[in-house]
Amino acid sequence: MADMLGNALSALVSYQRALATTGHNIANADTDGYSRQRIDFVTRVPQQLGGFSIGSGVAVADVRRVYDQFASSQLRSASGGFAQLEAFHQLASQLDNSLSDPELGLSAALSRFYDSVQNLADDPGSMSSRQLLLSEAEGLSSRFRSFASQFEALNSQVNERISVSINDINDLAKELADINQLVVEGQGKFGGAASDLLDRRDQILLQLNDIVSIKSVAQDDGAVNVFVGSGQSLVLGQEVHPLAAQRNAFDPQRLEIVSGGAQGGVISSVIGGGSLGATLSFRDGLLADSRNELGRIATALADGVNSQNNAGIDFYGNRGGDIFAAIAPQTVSASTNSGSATAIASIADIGALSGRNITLQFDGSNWRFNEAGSGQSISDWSGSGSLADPFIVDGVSLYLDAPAAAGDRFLLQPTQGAAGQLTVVMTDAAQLAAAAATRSGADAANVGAAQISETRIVDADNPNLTNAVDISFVDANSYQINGSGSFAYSPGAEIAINGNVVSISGSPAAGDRFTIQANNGASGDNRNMLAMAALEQTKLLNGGSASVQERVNGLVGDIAVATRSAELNRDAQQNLLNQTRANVEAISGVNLDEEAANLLKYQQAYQAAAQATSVANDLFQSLMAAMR
Amino acid sequence: MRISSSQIFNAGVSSMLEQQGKLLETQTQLASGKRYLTPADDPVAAVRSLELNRALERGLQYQRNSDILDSRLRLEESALAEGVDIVQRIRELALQANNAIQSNESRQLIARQVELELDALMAVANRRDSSGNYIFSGYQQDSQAFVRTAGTVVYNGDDGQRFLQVGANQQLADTAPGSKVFAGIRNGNGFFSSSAATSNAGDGFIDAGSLSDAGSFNGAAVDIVFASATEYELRDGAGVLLGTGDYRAGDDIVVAGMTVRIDGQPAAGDQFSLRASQAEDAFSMVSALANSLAQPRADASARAQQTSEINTALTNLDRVLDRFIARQADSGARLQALDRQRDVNSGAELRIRESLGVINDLDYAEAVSRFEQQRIGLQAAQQAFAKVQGLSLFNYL
Repeated sequence: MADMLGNALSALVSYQRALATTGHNIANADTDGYSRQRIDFVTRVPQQLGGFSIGSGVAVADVRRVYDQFASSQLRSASGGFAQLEAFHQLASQLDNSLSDPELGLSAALSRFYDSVQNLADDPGSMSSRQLLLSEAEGLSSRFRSFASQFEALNSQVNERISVSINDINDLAKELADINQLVVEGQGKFGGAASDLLDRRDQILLQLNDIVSIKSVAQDDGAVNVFVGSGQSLVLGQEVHPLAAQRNAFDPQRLEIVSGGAQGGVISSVIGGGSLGATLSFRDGLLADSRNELGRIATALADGVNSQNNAGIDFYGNRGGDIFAAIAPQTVSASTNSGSATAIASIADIGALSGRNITLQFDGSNWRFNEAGSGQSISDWSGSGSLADPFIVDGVSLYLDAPAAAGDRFLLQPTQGAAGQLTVVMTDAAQLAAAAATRSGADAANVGAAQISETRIVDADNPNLTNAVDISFVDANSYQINGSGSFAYSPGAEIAINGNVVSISGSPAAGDRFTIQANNGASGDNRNMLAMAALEQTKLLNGGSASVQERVNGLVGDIAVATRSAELNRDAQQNLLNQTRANVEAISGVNLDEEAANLLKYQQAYQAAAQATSVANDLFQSLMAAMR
Repeated sequence: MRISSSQIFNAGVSSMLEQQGKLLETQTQLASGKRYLTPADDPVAAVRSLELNRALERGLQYQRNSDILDSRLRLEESALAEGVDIVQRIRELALQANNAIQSNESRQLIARQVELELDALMAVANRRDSSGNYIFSGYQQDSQAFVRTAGTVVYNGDDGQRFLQVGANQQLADTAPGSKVFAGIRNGNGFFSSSAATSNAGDGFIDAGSLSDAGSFNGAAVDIVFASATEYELRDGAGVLLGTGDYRAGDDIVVAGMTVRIDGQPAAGDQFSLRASQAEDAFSMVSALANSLAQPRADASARAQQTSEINTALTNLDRVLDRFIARQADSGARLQALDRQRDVNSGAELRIRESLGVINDLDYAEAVSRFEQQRIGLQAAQQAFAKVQGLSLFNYL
């Protein structure tokens, strides 16, 4: 009876524990990262009685955490991938919408601007057409500026995200270190750590990996070490090496990430993965590229429109001035420079302009040019950096106003700020140069049938452009220019004089005279405006292969494709994540029906054991009564 | 496969969310009528649509440009037609004045009529458009094209002729400058002009002549000098004798490719000149006629002088008519080209709108049936969720 009682009692205790574990599972059915626990029973060591043995009941061998290391690390990586794509998509889609709006987008503003140019070409004397062109120019420049400020806003949002992410990483690292300590203690005292602690630690690793890609390495004492970037330590056992945000040496608007761990320093470029990695790659990729491209478009537009207006003459008869403020590339000296040199840059060739930011570094004797984002070396540059022999790189000319010291660094932003700088400087619409600088004429007394073409300005900067030129025919086959020389007449051939090109066709008579002169009083001339309207389709960019409008459309397309592919990748990753999560859940998740069944099973077993106790008691009572 | 309870719950919720997302997208499509909502939904279509939109805008601008050019060319055309009418009236007046029954007084009346027609011609040449710009001043549209000072007419414009962009690759010329309409007209018969010397004593008169042999014509001056009433000498500009001939009234005289006819009876010493045509403006031609008619003619020789002058004026007027008609044909041709270009433009507009429709516009039939399908899908997901969530072993404990 003693055996029976002992056996029943062991069962009572064991099933009580089993019921408690089931209860724990039910309680944590919705806890993130919780792994269900199972109870393993073993028979106790039997009592040997001569030739046979009698069982001595049941004991709890283990409360086991049902867990698969492989499935769980798969989940961690799928989840990190998803977080990265999701964050990138979120940021990219903010860019995507605004640029292409049919009413508010750049394309629409450009369209209205060029239409107003043609309006003025239709009626060059009309003040209202002139005023309209000027207001469309203003509207266009304000579109550019508003996109530039949207990019600015996105940049500060990026900074915000970086700061928040770093705080989150540091908080999680701290918690991880604390759990490490508990686990190590548990392992030392009891030879194993509590399942719930391990679950919590896995969950933290998962959350960390969602923010930034990490490497975790398990230690023999049960602790887990965590590294970020290219092996910078974040958590070593119970020690935390927090990350920090720091302003860039060139650009205070740009945050860099600094590690306090081994091989620390600025680690922005080696960090990847997770939402922080996505934020950084958005900033250095799509956002920077779009910003630079927008600036490049603004630069080409302003330069093209200004030089066309400079080529003509305005309503007052003066050579045309600038419509847009001239845009210059920006340069920044690193705050760490020991020399006092400042870099001064100007646009040398719009067609060669690439827009990428470039760092220049002086090692005391040689210069090195690198792409600012990727750090890739640039070899395609020339010059020595002096005023007489400036550096020429990517269509930008750049010189230093003082000698540079060894170790000095400079950042060249050819177009980054250009869109924000685009403003209209012309205030008087009469200064729009609708007329060409010169015109041709035939003498009223000409008796020959020859005709002279309109002048075409090929070199607006020629100092003698508007000088009067007299082409007089000595006979039907030769002519003089300004009373000297003798040139053979070939009908229709181009005659280039002082930056003008004319052609004479038909049969002239001796004594016929043609003239080229300054185009004074020509309020009805629209040739310069026609040329400006043609700028729309002039391929100013990419070495003469893309027009402004094409690049605006290209920019919209680039952003749309990036957003689209982020969206597709995100959806694919979402599926992968769901699958891996299902795998983990299949192994470690709590099924309430299963637990209910267990509950029934353990309850019944418990009740049976209690019954066995009662039977043992009855037996004992019967024995007692027999003795009495 | 083993399934956890939270997995069942999450699967139900996320499938409902997904269905709702799709439903919302279709709903927005239906509400906006657009096939895609952001460029990222279809980057290729978005960029193509931007390009097409600009092409459409540009085409509409070309149409606006064409409308402006059309009205300007019509203005030019009507001015030229008016000019032709005026010149024809002057020509009739000249013919009328050439009639022998006219007296000095009646010719002076005709002269006054010619003066009035000249004013009308000046008014045509100085026509302005609705904005007050002179249409025949070339680029100098603010300056009056032709101004009469001290009896001569001066052109204040220039030779500029504006072009308007009426199609992607088509620029058409605006109104021709006045210098190419009213001025620079070769006087006489277009090759040479004839005149009688004012000192002539006989009543011989000369016609405008014609070019009979272009190969021998070199534009050099020739004088026909009468040695006697029956004999004439041909001399060049320097007085060198080129030939002689016997004169019979009404005979053709041919010299250096030029054929002229002298009629009436010239006296010895009378002289007629043939000179290469000079460029002259229409106004001076008309006003020479008016002056000739206004001047009273006392005797037969003065009358003959006048006849020669009227002959010259008539042929001059023909030149002016030729010029005006050539310009009319020119602007008519441009109007036609413009009409064709407008057809091309509107055809292009139609095609672009079609393409834009294909790219941007939602297929409603498809979208509505998709919407219906998604709505049913969502309902099913909701019902399934509610049913599955009701299943639990705990219900039976």
